[in-house]
Amino acid sequence: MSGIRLSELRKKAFNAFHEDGIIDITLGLIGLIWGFMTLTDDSSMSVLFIVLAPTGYWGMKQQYTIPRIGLVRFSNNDCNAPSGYKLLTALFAMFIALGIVVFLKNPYFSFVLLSIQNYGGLLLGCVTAVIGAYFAWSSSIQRFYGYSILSFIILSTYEFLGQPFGYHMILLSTIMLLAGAYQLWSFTIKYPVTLVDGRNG
Amino acid sequence: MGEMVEDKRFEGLDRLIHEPARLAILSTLYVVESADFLFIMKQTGLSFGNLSSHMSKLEQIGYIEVIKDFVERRPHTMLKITEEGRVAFNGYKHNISKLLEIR
Repeated sequence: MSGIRLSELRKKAFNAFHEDGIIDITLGLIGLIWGFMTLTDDSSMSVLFIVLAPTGYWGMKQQYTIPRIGLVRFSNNDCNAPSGYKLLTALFAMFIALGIVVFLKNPYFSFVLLSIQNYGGLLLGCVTAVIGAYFAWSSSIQRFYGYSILSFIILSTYEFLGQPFGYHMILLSTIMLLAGAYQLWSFTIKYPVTLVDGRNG
Repeated sequence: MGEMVEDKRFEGLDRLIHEPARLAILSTLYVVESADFLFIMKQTGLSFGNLSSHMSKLEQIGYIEVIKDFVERRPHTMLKITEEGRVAFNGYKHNISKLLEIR
């Protein structure tokens, strides 16, 4: 008989709340908008979507997830979170922010800008693959390992196929969107709406 | 309930936490900030009535806080472990691992 591991229990709760595929749908929509933006050179949609994405995400959660499996809130300063987790996340974010600033400001690093121009797809493929794998590892949502491999393949092939980058982005986002929609459909079948407290959920 | 065990080593265990259903509720609440009634029901596999009675007991002794509010004009019950409950749970963890000497 194996014992109760609190970290596993936390992951189980986190996975249950994100089993619905809504996070995939949201990321897929963001990617789609981004893809269309790169094709049309119109950035006005991004501003609109940044405002609408959180509202849409919580709207879907309230519509599909909460009436089926309930509501849970996770604390950022949870004493049971892996000890290096927060530090690693902070360092990771800091590293990326500093890196961008340094590379863009310093002329000695112009080769990086040149690399981004020449191998943008490959670099973006690597970055999204690393972020996806990191998210999958830290949250134990296994399907994000699949997305990270997929993003690496689809975005890096931009270097070899020569089609507009937007098409690659749209392809990747559509796959995520469809996978998320399938996940949501399975979720609604698996968990029917439960009545508690005289309300739905 | 209430039956005494002669072995004094068992005395340090908090009986209120030791009961499996309450242990399951507290373990779940220990790892999250707060959760609603339905989420705890799904995670622990307890029935509505069972969870209600254990929830009342845990609330009575101050280990959990029950927050009743309204979401879209419907009643909504959120559960949260209190600081006292967290301390008691840590104590229980310490005592049970010491008692069983799990290696």
